Amino acid sequence: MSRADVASRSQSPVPALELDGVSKRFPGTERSVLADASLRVNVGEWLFLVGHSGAGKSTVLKTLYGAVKPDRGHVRVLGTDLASARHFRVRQRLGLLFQSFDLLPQKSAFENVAYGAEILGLPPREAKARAGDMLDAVGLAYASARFPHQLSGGEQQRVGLARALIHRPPVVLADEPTGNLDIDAAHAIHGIFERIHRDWNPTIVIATHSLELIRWAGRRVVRVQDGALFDDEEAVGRRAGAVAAEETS
Amino acid sequence: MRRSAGAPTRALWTLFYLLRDAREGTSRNALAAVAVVLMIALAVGFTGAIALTVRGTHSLTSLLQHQARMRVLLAPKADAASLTGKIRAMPGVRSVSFISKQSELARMERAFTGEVDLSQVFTTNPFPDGLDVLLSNAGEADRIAGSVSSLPGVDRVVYGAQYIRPLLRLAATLKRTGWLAATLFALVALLVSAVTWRLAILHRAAEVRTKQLMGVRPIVIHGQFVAEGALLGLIGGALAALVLVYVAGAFIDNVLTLLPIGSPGRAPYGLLAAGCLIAGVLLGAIGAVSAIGAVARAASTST
Repeated sequence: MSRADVASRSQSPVPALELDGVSKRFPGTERSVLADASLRVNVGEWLFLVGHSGAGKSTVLKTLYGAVKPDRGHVRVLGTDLASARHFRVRQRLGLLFQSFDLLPQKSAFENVAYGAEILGLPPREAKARAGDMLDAVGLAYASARFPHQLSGGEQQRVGLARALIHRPPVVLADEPTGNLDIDAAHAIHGIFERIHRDWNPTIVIATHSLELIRWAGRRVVRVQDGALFDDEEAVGRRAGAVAAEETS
Repeated sequence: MRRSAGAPTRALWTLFYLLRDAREGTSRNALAAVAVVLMIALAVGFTGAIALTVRGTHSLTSLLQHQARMRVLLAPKADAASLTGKIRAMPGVRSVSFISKQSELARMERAFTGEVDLSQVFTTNPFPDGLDVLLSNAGEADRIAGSVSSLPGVDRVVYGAQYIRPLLRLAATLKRTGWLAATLFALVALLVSAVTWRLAILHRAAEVRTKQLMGVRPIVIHGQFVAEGALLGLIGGALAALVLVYVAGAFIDNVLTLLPIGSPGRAPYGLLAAGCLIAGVLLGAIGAVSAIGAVARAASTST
């Protein structure tokens, strides 16, 4: 494994996401979750964050969307340093997806998705049109009037994904998006990620335990371990092998 | 991403969504809304009642002070004209008029018409001649009564000292502490309203957290709850205004006008209603601001 630092992947002049020497220790704990961790994710890149439970995958994501303030170091999102930015502005340019879905329980599936457009101040007609398109895109047009408690876990996660993507964000961050889903629902979510990456090429970072997803997607893998971030060359190697085998066949 | 509208248009739509969500939030959390409305109605109602009481007592004591009178009962064969002159010359005396024993008997007969026939009760007129003394300040009643009592020819001085003194003391106390009490009560009401609000929106912390994560502006998150608070406060204030105006109408206009000293005047209904509405809106909005601040902080640290 090699440190996934700034120097190791310098393809686009301004990276989509950047952690630069970030350290974080939560009050009351002895160990730093992140210790001088660095990461650079280029525009349009898709990577997986892996690591054992408690390694700090979620902390990396939370640091990227400003929910966790680092003790040291810099976090830049689309060239903006979070230390000096208003977080809501940054978050409006992100698509966030969570294991727990985090839908608004009082709104229907359609209204939840439309809300993602409404917070940007889009007129109702446009927000509704986009919500309809997004629910179509995630295959949930049939469930648009249902409320979150009337949806299965997979359906809720697809609603969450539609809401996260309704404004076509340049960066999508997902924290264990398939962690609570069965294999079929997980595949449906993976398929949507594949499609949006192909369609408009957003930068995607997914924290996951799912080796199957990693192998299937064949993308860059960064391991969170002992507070540092490492490019997982083994996973990259497996990916290269898989691609080669596919090309041979 | 493509932006199809200018900043002012987006701000207007954001306001529209905010008010829509405030309305939905209020109707969705009906029980909590009822609790907040009742708390605000009670708070505004009590504060308004204190204010009305202070005002009413002040008006009544003003009336009393300017209408205080005493009755001077004359000894037989007293020189009424001379006594009238002496008393009229005393400082603090507005007027003195002679009441003959005949006119006093006639007044009593009129008062008991249909109940008791005084001519059957009294064989002779038992009432003495008297002087009706009107004072310019009830606070000087004791001093003047003392002076009048010492005049030769005066049998007794009768006045409502036992009523006037406590009322004047009450008025002075209310004047000093009434508005302070009303202000203190308003502060307590604000605190109670904030606590009620905090309880009411605590279970909506997840909603607040989700909105924060989605990039909803803090002012919009706060604004929704402030709008909900203002709306509920308006309803609570209106309830308080209805009750106060009804009570004030029934009591002040129908009961106090019957007092022999005169009416303290109609309660300022318009001012009262407006004050209740404004106080309700402020209580609701400020309570919501304080509550949402705490809930938003808690939600942001739990993301």
